Amino acid sequence: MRSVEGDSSFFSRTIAHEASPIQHEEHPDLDLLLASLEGDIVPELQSKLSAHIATCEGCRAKWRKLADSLHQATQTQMSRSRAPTFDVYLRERIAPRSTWVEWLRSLFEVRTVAFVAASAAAVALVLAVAVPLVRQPVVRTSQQIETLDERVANLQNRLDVLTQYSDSIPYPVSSGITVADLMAYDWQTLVPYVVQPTDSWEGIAEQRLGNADLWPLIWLLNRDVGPSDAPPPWGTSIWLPTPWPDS
Amino acid sequence: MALDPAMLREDRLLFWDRLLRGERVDPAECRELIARLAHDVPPEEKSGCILLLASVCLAREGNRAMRRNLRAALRYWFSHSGTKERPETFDPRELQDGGLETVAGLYLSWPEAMLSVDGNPDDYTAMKRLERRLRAKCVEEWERQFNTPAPDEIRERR
Repeated sequence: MRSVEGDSSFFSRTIAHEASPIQHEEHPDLDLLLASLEGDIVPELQSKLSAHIATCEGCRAKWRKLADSLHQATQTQMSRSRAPTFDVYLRERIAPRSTWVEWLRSLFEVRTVAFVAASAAAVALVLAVAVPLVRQPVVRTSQQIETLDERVANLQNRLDVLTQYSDSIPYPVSSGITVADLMAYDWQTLVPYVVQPTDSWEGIAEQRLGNADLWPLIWLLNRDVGPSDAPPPWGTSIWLPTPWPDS
Repeated sequence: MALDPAMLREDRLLFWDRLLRGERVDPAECRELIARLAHDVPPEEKSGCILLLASVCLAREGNRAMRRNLRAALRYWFSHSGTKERPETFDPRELQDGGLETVAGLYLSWPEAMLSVDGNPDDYTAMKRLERRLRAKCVEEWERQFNTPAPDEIRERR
């Protein structure tokens, strides 16, 4: 290791004398030491205190102990302030789970819709072929196929609309929707419900469906009533899904 | 009436602390302090006064690099005073505004002293350049203040 002390003995010796211990008659009290550590004293007094601490072993030991304690407390405080807030913590916790929005999006992907449409078309085709074989007249069967085609087309339209509106729903803090929750209800057989004065989307979902997390879907069903971030108007009739008999 | 040398040293320590913190000190204040010295004061007291005055003058007259090197050197020297006591985790960069109470007992290496003033830690010649200037200033001020030739130890002719 390189040294810089070669011919600097005059400086080292002189400074060592300057900072050598002094027999002080008075010593700073604890309040003054703390104020110094907090930078809460005027510069002149700070220099006087520094000179005392540097030349008084007892006060220096006390000052170092206080400084270490303050440093540790500051570090602890800083580490606490870096902790995530509750909502960030929640988001991190639920992030790995697929949200209902993602589920809906995956449901409405082009390939999925095409698959549903193709399946429906296949069913319609089977019906179109099979029904005439077992039932007469052929004209009536043709009418049924047309009706099925219309229903498939309507279903596609509804899926497109739902896809369009799914982006407008605010991200729910707690997204606890599971496939089981959705499958518990018949979302095509709807029943009317008149909104009460204290009702909210979450409240209705909680009271009528037993799961407040389903509120975005209820809002989707009734999006014409109003925005998702405001409660539904009092007295309005909205549509709710019906539970399956076996659920 | 002659003043107690210890009291004079305490007064000088106030100036040393201000220099360590990078504050400006008026040389006239130091000259006033030296004027209070008795004629029979111990030589180490005279050396302390002259070194302080030379440092104050250099801090006023020197360029930015010289002022920085002066602070690094003072921190290096003062850190080697008192009982050695270094915190377990220690970063010299945190000494930016540190005074006497902070550096005493740290026993800094020269690179650490340079880091504490944002200097180049590998610049070992900085100390030599500073000492040369400081020594010349000490000789000049000794002869000016005491009207006698500066001791050989200051002139580096021991």
